Amino acid sequence: MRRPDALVAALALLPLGLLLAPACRARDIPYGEVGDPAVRRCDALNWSPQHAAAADCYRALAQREAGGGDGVRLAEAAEGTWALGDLVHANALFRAAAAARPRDATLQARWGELYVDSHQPQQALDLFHEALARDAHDAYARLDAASVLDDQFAVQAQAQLRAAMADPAAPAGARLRGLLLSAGAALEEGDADSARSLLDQAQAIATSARLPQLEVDALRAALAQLEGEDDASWIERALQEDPAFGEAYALPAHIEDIRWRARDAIALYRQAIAIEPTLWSARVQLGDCLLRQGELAEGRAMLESAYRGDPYDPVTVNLLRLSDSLQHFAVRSYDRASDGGPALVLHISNAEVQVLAPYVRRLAQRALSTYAQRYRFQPRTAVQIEVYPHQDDLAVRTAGLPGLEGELGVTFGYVVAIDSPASRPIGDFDWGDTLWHEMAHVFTLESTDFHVPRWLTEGLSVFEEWRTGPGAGVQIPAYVLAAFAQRRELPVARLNAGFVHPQYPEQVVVSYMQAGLICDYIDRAFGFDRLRALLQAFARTSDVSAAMQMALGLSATQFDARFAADLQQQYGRVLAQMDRWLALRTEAERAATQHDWSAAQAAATQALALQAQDVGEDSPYLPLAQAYVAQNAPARALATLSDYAQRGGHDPQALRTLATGLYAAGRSAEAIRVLDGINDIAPFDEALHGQLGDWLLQAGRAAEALAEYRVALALNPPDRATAHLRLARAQYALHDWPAARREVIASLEVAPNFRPAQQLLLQLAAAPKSTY
Amino acid sequence: MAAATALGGHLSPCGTPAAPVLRRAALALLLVAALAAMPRAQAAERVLIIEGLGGEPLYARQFDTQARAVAAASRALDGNDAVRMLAGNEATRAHILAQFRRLAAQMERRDELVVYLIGHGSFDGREYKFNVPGPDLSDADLKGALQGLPAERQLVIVTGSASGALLPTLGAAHRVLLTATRNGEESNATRFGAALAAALQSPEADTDKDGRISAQEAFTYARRTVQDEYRREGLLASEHAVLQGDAAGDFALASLVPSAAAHIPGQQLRRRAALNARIKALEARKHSLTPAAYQQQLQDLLLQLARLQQQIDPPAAPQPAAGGAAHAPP
Repeated sequence: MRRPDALVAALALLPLGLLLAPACRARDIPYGEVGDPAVRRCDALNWSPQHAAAADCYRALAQREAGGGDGVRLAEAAEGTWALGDLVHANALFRAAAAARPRDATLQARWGELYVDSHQPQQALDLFHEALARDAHDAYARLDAASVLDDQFAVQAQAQLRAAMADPAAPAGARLRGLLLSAGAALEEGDADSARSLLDQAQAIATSARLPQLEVDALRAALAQLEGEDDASWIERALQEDPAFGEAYALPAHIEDIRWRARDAIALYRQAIAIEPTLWSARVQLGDCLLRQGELAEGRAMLESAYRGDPYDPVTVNLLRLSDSLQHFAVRSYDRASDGGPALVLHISNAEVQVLAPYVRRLAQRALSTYAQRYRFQPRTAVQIEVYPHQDDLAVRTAGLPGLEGELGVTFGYVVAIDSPASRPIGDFDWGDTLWHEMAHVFTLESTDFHVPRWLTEGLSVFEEWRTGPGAGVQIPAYVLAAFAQRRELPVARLNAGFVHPQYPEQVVVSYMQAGLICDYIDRAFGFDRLRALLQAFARTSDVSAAMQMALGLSATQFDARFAADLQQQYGRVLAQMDRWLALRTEAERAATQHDWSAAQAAATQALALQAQDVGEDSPYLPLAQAYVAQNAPARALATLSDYAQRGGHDPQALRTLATGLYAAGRSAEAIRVLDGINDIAPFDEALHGQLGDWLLQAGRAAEALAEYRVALALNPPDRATAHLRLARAQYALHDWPAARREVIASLEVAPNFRPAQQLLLQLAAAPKSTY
Repeated sequence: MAAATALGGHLSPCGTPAAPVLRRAALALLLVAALAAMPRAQAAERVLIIEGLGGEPLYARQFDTQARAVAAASRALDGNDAVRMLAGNEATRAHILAQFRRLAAQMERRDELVVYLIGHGSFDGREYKFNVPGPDLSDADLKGALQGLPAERQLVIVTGSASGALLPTLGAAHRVLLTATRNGEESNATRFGAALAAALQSPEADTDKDGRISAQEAFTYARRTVQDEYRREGLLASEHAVLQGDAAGDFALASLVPSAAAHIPGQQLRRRAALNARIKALEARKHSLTPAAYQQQLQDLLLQLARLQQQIDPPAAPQPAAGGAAHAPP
């Protein structure tokens, strides 16, 4: 048995919060949803300083199960059991209660909320729909559904929310909950005006209906942070009502996290768990934030503590598994560059590191140098780049859950994570463009201390891809142009919403492109200095119009008008003939597939006349070049592919064909440049590296050839004799005779009768002994 | 991307200048091929190629192209008389079994047989069937036909769907099996046949640079090609090729160069064979030697072999040793 003095000492080591903390599981405030007076009594105690009494109260509720099949008593027991943290038994009690009271919509909704608490949103949604089937006016159930759908980025979330709020019969508590949901969304979008208005309404309802104001205060704290004001008074207000209300910190922390201000979020989450150690969701978020900051050991420890308290959260489990897999990554560190650029640390899976590290390093260092000059900012610490061989690992790194197929990369300050080129089919994405995009975020986020709004940091990253990236050239997918033709772009002041709460499936990509075009327009019309000034303006204000005024001398509305005019000037022809353009693209592809070359040429030519920059998926340049080849016009085919490549076309097969043609035409330097460019798209191709190495060696660039040959060998080619011989030849050209000898013997060990290797061995043997 | 693939051969009518490695490899292969040809001079190799039904024009064309490529490679290696191809109406079950009976009468124990089955297969959980005009050829038919042959060294290559179902049925100590799939459940149309046919013409498949493509080399090349295709296209692989048996390296399937052994004096051929045997023996003892000792002994043998080959080679115009620039060691 522990000695009393030891127990006292152990207690002394515990944070004060743990001593004050409720004995119950963290519980969402029902805002009047549960009408049962017994449950309400316990809840009133729960969100007050009387936590011990609340626990006793819930325990008494839980014991009502003994009363038998009375649906009301079973529901009370379910609430008590849930509050005490036994989710499994609470589920059984809700099931029994629902069987006894099959028409009770509130019971169904509460049961669904239990499923939300146990991280099973789909089952929860089913129960909310069942509740609405019993009572179409159950505003709580409708808000529950909206909340789950919003977490899933489903476009139906807004419709559910609007329907709940529009119901004049909705109780005050439901309207308060809806306003809080809307205010949270506005804060996530960085829309301070809307958030303030919604919170004013929420506070008025809470006051008049005598409902808890804890969450109103917590969101007011988040609003204060958004506007650069002191949040302490709002947090203090919440804590006066309930000193152990961890959400007073965790809600503002979440908004900071959404705004990519992980360091501030970490500080807030730490305070949240200090006063409410059983707030497992805050521990998960804190662990995630720490991992994003590269604090792997502490992040993992935090996640492990969260798992012990809430083993049902898939985010915790996924992040812990990801943390396990990171331990099998190779780490390559490169010192600070001679130009003062930051150190670079690469985390790449052991299976891919030898192939990817040279190209990731090359491109990352070029990005650091380019952006430092353009944004006049030097990163203050090493930049860490993680390359994930599986899409789902990146999704877990980003959101804690697999399945984010559209996610290619993510930046958490000085930590960048991208998909490996091997994680997706060739042609699906360019890892080089993705890394270039993410590296721009490092500069736009860090140089503004994360005050840049989402639309601008994304817009600048897209713009940099187009302007300075490895596949430079404006690329706008056809469906985005179609959205512009339907005037679906957003006013710049509301553009954040297109990223955070999309209203239609393509809106996120449309918003990316619009943001990129806005930056492109500012650069052309005002100059890059003004674009940079706009970025810096957001370090002083979160108001888009004020920032526009500071940097460009225009209000947001004035800017929208100018941008719309520029969009028309740049793309007016294609936007006005959208259907015809789409039909011409389709026709070019169809005709080429059927070898109808004159039709393919005609359609592709007309499509490109409407949109010459069309070098993305299904680009008409490709059937056009194919048609020229079929019509025995190789020079025109070559010119077509050259145009395609110069505009940023990046189909690896087309680029390879172009490189081969250029080489055959004696334009070896261009050929090498084009072939080398494929390394930024699809580097897992041993033939590419062999070919590029051969061309480089013939051009007298033996050191670069050697690097390519090393990558080719790292890809474990079946023809290892040739791979080693190529390395030997490059070493020979570099006058490194011992290395050349090692490689030629390695070649002959595989294939002793390989005549070219034998010849090189004899040449090396003829050298004086001292060198051989 | 079909457009760009079709462009490949047209943009460079003169062809890309061959890399120095490959340019000189052709000359070397011409001579080295003689080596591998010698030991089997007295044993006859027979090749039977069976082309099954395509069902659709696309598959029919593919199977025909593959069968013809295999036949051309086999004839270049073993001569016209050694190769028999059954296709179309000749590829009925009755014709096929009759051909096996004829082979049984012609072959001797020391001979070797290579059988290709190029076409669709199916497996219903109990029985494998290779699709031919009329009644299909069953796994039992094949087992009986192969058992009736005196040839002790047999290689059976089945390139189609569900071919892995044959592994348990046809497996035998003296028989090597190459199948496109790992079991009978992998029943989609396969890519393995096209990749295997390509291997028989590819210098890259010849990993030991002896001028011949062995069954082992062809399998390794084809399997990798198929894996790369599925990976590139982001598809879940619906076929997993299997090689069963220990002696796949002993079966030659194609020669990349015509045989030149007749022009090399017998003494030099014997010396070269002896040096190759010593290198193999040294490799077998690699783990019992220190790395330095192994490297030194290997280098000595390789130098002897290279010098001998230099004596055998016809004089050639001097060429730079590496890349585009000749560098004399200092």
